[in-house]
Amino acid sequence: MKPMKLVSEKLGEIRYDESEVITFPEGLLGFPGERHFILVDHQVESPFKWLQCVDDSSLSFVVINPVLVKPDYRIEIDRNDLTLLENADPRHIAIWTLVSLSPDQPERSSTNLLGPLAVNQKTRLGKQLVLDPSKHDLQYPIFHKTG
Amino acid sequence: MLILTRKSGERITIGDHVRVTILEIKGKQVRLGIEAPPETRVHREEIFQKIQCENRLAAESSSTAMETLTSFWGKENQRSLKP
Repeated sequence: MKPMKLVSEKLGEIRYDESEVITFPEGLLGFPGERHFILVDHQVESPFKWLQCVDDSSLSFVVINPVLVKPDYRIEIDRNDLTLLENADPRHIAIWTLVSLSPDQPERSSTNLLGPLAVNQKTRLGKQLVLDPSKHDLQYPIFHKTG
Repeated sequence: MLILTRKSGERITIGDHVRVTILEIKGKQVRLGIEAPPETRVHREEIFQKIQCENRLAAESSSTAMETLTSFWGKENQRSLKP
């Protein structure tokens, strides 16, 4: 237990424990140097969470559990990725997907199912996977028009 | 850019740990076999770039936009719960 504090540009002061930090040894695509993140709740009832970078306080992403958007979302994690995630039992791997927000048009928000974030919940190691573009959408709409 | 010409079956080594084999050449397509340590990223470039780009877009999310999104989600869920 080691209490920590950071001041996020978007979220203000955040208190967390060092054990909550998720390490992405390779960073995220486009952000290779940013390796340490924490998951921050937005509101209790909201499925959307913030993935706040600890190394760069100005960097935060919105994430969601993709199954809430696409209930039949299934991915295969290849052997290399599984090695990097320290051979986690698949049941210990949490999957989060990044959300691209349309500020004035929330109905147009999408989530990236092609490059999900896989996190080994036991070791707190994570990796952004690159899946098969013929099977998964880069910009999967969060909201579906009905009727 | 280093330019090499290879035939089917021939190989290229990159650094100490990466090896590329030309497996098959069929018409306009080249089939490559890549051996690299697990921590080395190997991807089709255009997909890698698309994800990088989308990541950067996702990084622009503001807390205001998050508020709007959350309200919208709440409303949509309420709507779908109505008989």
